[in-house]
Amino acid sequence: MLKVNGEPLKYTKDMTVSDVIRAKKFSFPLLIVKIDGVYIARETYDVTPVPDGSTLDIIHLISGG
Amino acid sequence: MKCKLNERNVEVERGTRAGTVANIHCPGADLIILNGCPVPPETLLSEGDALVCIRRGVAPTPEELDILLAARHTPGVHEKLKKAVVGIAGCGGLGSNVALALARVGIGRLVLADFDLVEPSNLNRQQYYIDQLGMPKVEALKSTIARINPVVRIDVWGEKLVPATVASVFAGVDVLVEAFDRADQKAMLVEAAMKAFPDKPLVLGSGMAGWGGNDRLHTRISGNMTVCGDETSEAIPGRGLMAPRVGIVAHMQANRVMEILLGPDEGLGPELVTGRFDETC
Repeated sequence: MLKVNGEPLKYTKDMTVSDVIRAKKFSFPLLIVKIDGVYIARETYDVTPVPDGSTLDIIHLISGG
Repeated sequence: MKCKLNERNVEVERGTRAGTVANIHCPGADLIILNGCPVPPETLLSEGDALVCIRRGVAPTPEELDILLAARHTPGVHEKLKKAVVGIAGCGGLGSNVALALARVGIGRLVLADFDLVEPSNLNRQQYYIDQLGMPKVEALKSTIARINPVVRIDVWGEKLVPATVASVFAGVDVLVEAFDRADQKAMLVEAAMKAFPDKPLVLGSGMAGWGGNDRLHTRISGNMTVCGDETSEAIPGRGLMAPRVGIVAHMQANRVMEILLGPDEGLGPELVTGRFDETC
């Protein structure tokens, strides 16, 4: 089981960051992803494995300021 | 017993009242602030008290100003913040408000970055004035800060930030504030900062368009990264950016910067549980 933005998400074998984003149906184009507080570079989402039991924070960057 | 008057050590006898000390050391003072809070002159002093006496309507010298300006701070805060350096990337609705809040609490040094000029549509939410239209934002903001707290040191970067300059301009800051308008610029800053200095605290603003919805604005902390805003209300055609909501998020960012620099405020009152107002007051 994973924890994504405070909510549980079922872990599947060999899950990557991209798989988590798809599973959560996140549609915002600009995301910041942290696994257990560690920043994950955007270009590595497809190949970065998400360990079972980890906590992900996915932050949407949206215009306005 | 030992007390402090306008940051100078003074020896006072037990049972002395605040007004008595004020009359001796600061004749004509009409505002007495004890440990960050205004008090009447008859207030009894205790060992270690910090007293600030102010003559209203009289312009202080620059040396006095630094002390008087911080008179309403929680004791000890000013000394710590004076040593801090904070970077602000973008001086629009978020950045100009963050900069002024941090200048008012006496941050030691601010590094302000923005390539833009002040224009009329900025005035609905940004801390600029009619007589600053056409000025580079960093120069306008620097001159406004000098009118509030000339003790704050200001460095400016007036060119568009790119990853290489993010790494050089903000290398020396203790905390970096992301204060851009456009989402792609926010992403550029986060990526550049995380590559150049992965351990540096970063405070982002995301989601503050529209009005109302106070309770949806929140602070989320993940490792060294903090995001303030509602994380959903994007500035799009039909949903504008206005002073109150942008200003709230900017001040949430500035408030979080203080928390990063000082640690949590153990002196905050108890958390109010909605619906049980009577028991907590």
